[in-house]
Amino acid sequence: MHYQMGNSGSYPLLLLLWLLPLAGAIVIWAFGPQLKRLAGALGSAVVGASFVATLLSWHDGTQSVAGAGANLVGAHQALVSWLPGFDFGLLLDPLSLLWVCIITGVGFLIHVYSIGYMYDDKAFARFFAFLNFFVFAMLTLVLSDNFVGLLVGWGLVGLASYFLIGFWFEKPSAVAAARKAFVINVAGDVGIMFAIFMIVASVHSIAFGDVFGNVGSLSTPWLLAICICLFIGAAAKSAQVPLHTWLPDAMEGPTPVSALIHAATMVTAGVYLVARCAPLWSQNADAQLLVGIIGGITALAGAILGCAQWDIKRILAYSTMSQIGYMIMGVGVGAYEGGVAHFFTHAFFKAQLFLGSGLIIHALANEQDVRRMGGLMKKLPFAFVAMLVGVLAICGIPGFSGSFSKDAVIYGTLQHGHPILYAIGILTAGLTAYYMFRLLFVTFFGSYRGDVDPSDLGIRHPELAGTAHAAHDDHHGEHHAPAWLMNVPVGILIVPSIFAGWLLFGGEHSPWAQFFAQQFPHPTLPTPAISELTTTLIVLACVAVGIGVAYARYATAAAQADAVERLRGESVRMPALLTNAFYFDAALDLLFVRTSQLFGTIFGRLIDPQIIDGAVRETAFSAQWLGTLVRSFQTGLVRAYAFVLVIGVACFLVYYAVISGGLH
Amino acid sequence: MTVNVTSADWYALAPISIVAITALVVLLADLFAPKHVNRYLAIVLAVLGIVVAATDCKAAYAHDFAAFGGAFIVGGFSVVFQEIILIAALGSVVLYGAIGKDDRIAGAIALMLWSACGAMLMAGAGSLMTIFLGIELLSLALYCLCGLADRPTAREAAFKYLILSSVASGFMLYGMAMLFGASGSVALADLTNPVLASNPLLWIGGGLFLVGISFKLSLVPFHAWSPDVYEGAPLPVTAFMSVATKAGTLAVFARFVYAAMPSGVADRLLLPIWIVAGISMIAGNVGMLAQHDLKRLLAYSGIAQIGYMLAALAGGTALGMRYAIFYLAAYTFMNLGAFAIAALISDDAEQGSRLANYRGLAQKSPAAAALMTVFLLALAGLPPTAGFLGKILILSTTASAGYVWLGIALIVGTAISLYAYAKIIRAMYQRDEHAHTHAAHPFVPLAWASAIVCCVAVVVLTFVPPALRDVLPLVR
Amino acid sequence: MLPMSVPLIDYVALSSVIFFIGVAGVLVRRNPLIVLMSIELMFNAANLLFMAFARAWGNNAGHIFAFLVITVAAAEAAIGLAIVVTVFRTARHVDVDDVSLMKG
Repeated sequence: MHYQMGNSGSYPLLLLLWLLPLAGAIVIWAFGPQLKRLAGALGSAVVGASFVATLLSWHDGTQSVAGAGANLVGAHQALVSWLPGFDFGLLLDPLSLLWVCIITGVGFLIHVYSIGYMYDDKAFARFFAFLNFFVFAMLTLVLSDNFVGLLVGWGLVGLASYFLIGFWFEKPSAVAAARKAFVINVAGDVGIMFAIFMIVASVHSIAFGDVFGNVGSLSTPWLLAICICLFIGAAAKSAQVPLHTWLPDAMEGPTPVSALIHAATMVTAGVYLVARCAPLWSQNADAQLLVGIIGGITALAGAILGCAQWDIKRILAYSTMSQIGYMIMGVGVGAYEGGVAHFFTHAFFKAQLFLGSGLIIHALANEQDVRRMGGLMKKLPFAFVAMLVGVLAICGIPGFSGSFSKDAVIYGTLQHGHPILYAIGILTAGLTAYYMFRLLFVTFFGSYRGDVDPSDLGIRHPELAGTAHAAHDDHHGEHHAPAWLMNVPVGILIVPSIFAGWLLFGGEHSPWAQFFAQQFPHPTLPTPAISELTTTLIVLACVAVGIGVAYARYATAAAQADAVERLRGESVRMPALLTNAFYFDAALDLLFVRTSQLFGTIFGRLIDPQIIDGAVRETAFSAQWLGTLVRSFQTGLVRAYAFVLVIGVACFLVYYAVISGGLH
Repeated sequence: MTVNVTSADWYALAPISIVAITALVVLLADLFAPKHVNRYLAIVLAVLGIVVAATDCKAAYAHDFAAFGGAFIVGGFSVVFQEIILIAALGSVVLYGAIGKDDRIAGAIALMLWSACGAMLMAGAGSLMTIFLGIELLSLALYCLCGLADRPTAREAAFKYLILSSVASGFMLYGMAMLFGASGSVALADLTNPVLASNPLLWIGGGLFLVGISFKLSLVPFHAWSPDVYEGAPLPVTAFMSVATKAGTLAVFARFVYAAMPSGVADRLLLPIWIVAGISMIAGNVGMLAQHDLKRLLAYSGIAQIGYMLAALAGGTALGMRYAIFYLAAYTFMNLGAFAIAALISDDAEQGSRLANYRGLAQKSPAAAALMTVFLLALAGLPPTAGFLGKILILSTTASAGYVWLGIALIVGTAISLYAYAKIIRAMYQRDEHAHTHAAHPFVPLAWASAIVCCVAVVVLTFVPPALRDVLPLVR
Repeated sequence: MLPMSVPLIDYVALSSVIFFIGVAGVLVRRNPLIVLMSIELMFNAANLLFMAFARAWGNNAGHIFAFLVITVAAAEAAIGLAIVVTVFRTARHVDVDDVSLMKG
């Protein structure tokens, strides 16, 4: 089957929308000091222009090829033509169009917001250069029409993320977080690289079209191996268990970065990858099951851990992880439209939640611990409205965007025959409602606790808990940015946070289903025992329970009265399992770092004590023992080398003597 | 058999002659020039000679011609290899100019050029005699070059290289004698006679011949010399050796595989080579893990890289040959680039060769660290470098030729190597309070230029394919 | 083909014996000069083989090759001796095994 993707042809608009952010990044990088505050405006303008170009190319991107069957949709721009099967190009089809819209659209709003948020930062221009570079990298990822281009984009977003997490590099914790994120992401990149190696070895092409067209020729174990390698990349980028540990730490970056990269776009690249490779996954039920299970575990684990956090950004980080778990679960089991829809709505409401929390953090001079907030409803009414809409959306309150997409994912798991994942989805929805309303109640209700001594609130290590103590005096009253710069983007996001989900209304005839009609496989599925409406009602019931528990614990008059004492008690009695995030970090450390160190020590001592000298020990990553093993054969004696050589010759001669003897 | 030698035969040798004469001119000029200009003079003359040779070489590109009765064959194949060898010579001459000792510049450059002559001869060699002549010319000059530094390790490198290489040459020569005995001719073309397929002399002789090839390519288990020799030799010599020897020998091997075997024996005759190539990919990369000398690390890396190139040739497809050459070209640039970086942070004692000196390099010289990162990524085979593309291309051809296990060895080897390269990159970007600055060498700009050109080439080869896409199909 | 009083196989046998004496010499002798001589022995074994086959085939290519090898071997010996001298100039004993600064 010839599986063409996109109308071949030339779409300069596509080139334009792809390269504009890069141009912006270069100009801002080069002329940052001269541009001063204009850097922000310029950075926002190029992303805005990119968004306009996206809207203008909407028609081409969704147009199907005349006279052709399914799978022929979208616009294609060739870039570099190598040998057959090794061409590079840009592809705009409904799936990439959706991502591009979010990257440039939401990205534009976050750029504008950043002008206000980063107004007083020393490295204002550098920030926008990085941000624009990130947008370019992300566009490369989603617009590429082949695996190699995707991998290049994949690596570049990791690099941009590294720079932006470590943006405040004078903070050691930020540097450590950046490095952790980078290392885990590179591990994922390598997974994708091996998947590409395997793909090329079997299909001899890197183009999506060729690979998906020839998927039938792959043997089942080979396809499973490819899918697993790809998913290692997806899991690392999308913070899936057990590669999720970098995401909460990544909150060390500035809040707009968390909103754009670690909530709306980059972390959903794994969802994109699985959705893009739907033709691969649909051929292998084992791979699908694996992805679905990992997604489900992540959704549940993220939600549980979200209940135990006090840092407002870490709560949101775990909720992001949990929500991406939903998406991965959706695209994993085969409910592609649902999973992708949850990406779409999540991008809006999570960006809004992060930007809203940014308003709070900004107003409280970098305070991030919710225990030291409280009663902010009157102080920051706009932030309250923004957060409220976001919380309602994420909890799936009917009418808000999240409800449509989340129900689509949960119902999708049942449709595709995974009742356990279905149950996990419902349970997670209840937990989500609990911890998000907990966040809302603790932050905005009751009375302000910022002047209470941290130890009374159970904050043992204020400097570790995201509590900005010293910063309080330094920055207060120095913000000169006009308030609308930050408020307007948040205000605009309220609209899609509420209404974006309505695109899914109408089942198979909804605009959403129409949009993706040619994108994803549509197998006929048996009708499950539980109907969609019933599912919605069950989810709602769980959500109501979650909200009720949160209300009882944090928002009743009694709870508000002795809030300080209750929060202290909860902090102190928090199970160690939860405060240590299920010990994932410790386990990874034990598994990879410690074991290899141990091997290094043992083998180093045994084989060659001199090798582990100071210089090597310090430059060494850890495991040298295998290399040491090989080194021990290299004795340095000429005659020993000659002996090895002669043994090699003898082996050759024996082979040839046998072969030539067998000829007669 | 009579061979009529005409002027066309001599023209076929013109590029080699130009390089050889340039070497003489460099020596003579050094004799008569005043002391303070001899370095400039030697570099300028050598670069000029190489450029003229490269230009002249290009002319023969589209015209196949068998000179001296088939003993030396020019055409697309030989030209591509000769150009790669000339690039290697250019890069190493420039590096020697940048860090070499004043009083040895001319001699070293002349030896390097003569060595390049040998490799170029191998690129076009069509008979056993020219192959032997080329290999010995290449090696004899390299023995001297290896010892051209005032440290015991350099002398040791020369000695080890001399002994082991001579032994390997002995095996190869004995194999050649057997091949001659089988076919009664020294021409490679006469080995294609189908009668030979059942002659034990062809098999044993071919086997010994391949031993010599494997030694020059430093395949495991014939590799033992290369880490020691690479480490001991002066840095520019190592740079030259790592590329030119491999390029010349690969040309000989490729011609042997593609044009010198009776039909139907290739699978069985070459199987040991594919096996050692597979072993080399793994063992070479494992060997890199515990090194603390860059040259030594690159020796192990080279062992693995040549395995990748051989994997492309397995199966003997036309496409495989092109991909092997593409990877060789990419390897040339990334290797020369890495050596250029090592040269530019070195002074007389070659600190650039010790990996400990790369710790904190990004603080001292971000540009050098960035360039080095590109070269290491290319060696590791990560995008967006030519190394990645080369590996992808090789995988596509290896698997389709039926050597899936070689492809798997390539993947596994790559996985191991990532660790070793990442270690260096990580060290470069570490903060190091003890980072001491080395006295900048006055001729370091030459090394910078070389590194930048190599970096551009490594990236451009990936993104501007027409150059190679249009060049390689003419390779026969 | 020229008449041969000694059968070809005898030449082949003799040359292979000489060749393996050379190989063994490289492996067991520790004096670099004797190692170099052993290498010469390997080359000359090959020369003998070339000559024998050239006579058997009745063409000159083998003879020419042998002359080429003699020339190359001379050059190799010259360079080899020079390198041996530089390596062992300061050493009291001349032993191949002493040359092992680099390893691993």
